[in-house]
Amino acid sequence: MHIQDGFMIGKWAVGWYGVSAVFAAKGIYEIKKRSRENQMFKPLLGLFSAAVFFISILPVPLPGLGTSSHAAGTPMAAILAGPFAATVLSMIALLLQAALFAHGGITTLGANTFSMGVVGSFLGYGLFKLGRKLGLSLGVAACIAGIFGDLAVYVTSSFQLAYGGIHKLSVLTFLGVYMPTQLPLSLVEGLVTGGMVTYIARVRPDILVNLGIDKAQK
Amino acid sequence: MVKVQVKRMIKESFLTVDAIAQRDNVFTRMDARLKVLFCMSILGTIIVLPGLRLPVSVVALTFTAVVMIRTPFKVILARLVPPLALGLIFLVFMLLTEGQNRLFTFHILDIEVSGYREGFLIGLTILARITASMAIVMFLSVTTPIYELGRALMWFRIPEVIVEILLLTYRYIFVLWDEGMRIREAQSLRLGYYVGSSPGGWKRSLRSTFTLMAMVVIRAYDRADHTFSAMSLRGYNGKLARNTYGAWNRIDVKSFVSCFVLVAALIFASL
Repeated sequence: MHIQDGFMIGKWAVGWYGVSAVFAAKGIYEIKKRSRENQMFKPLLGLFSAAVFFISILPVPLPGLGTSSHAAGTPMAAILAGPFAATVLSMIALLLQAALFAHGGITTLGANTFSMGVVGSFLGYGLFKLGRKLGLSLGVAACIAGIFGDLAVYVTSSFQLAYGGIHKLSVLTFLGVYMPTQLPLSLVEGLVTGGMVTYIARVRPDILVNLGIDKAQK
Repeated sequence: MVKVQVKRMIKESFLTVDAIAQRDNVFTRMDARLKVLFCMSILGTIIVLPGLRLPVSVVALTFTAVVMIRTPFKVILARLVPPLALGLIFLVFMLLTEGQNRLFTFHILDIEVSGYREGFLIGLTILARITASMAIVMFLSVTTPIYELGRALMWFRIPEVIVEILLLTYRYIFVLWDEGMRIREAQSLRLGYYVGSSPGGWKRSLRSTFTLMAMVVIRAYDRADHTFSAMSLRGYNGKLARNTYGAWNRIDVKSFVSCFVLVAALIFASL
């Protein structure tokens, strides 16, 4: 899923670092601001980041195939922590995955942060908020956010690989490689994200209220 | 079965990397700032310079170093397998799709399959770069404990917020991992995961998966509250206690000069 070191030309790798840095800087500013208001915010983000890291490693069963894959977890992080903070969390998770797992790379950290942290978070969060404004339930809105947030990550990665590599492969080639596996996975990620939010709303509604995701029931 | 074993091996290797980095050897005694600087310079050079000589030399040097400090073979293998498999698939794909000068041609069920020289060279370059980058990052992770890495990153002016959340994330991955695995085991004992491909079984497995994920988020939220209380009792005021570096000693200077000479030699040899 993540672009490995060596796939990208130097100038593109640097360029993606620059673009992601803008969003990460705003994320850092937001985290600092919210930490001043509530000192527990940073430990909470650390724990959420660890939870999302664990979730992204868990095998998710794929229908009909008898096999499993892994969720991206970014739309979920964006719903819980907000899109800018989720960009920073994604950057940290990607750095840890690159350093400890060899998933993704250090020189491609900027590109991966942009696809997963920026596009995945913002689209997922935007769709969740839009869904809630349109009166959809928490679970359905989170499900839509999960599906399209996940798909957007792979579409963005396809563009990054097509335009930033030392090869001459087109966007369609990469989409053709990604989509047969990622289309069912994104549907499953949507169901999992929707199921998670619904479960938390049923068992611990106070968490969603405290995070500003849901309103307190009167 | 083999897939399950490979997955378990990868997870185990991930869990033991920091333990390896805590051991005492010539590379763990080196200043973390030097290792970060050295590895980042090499990484940058690998993706900027053309040719195969530099990546091959880097792979040879780092593997020698990693084997020298007795890094378990399964850790090396677990790190090597995923990126190498990706690189090999890409090499085959490029070989068969890109270029004009044919290297070979054969037929499968009346379909002509050709391999091209240009595609092979591009695929090989990418494979070499992936392997070299993976090797240098592995060297850094098995010789530098995560808290040392965090300290070095702060010295390089990486925002404190990022380093602080990185260290907290790393600390709690293991805790949540254990809790998550306990819940998963309990779910499995209650037949929560159906092995097969029936729609009903899949639905049950999916329900167990999102319940487990939601439980991990709930545990993380509760634990954050406890962690914050514990940190407050130890004097946490919203900022990480900084452990600043002292002046460079003679060993650091010698290591710096050696690293500099090595990087220059590698670049010179690859030109």
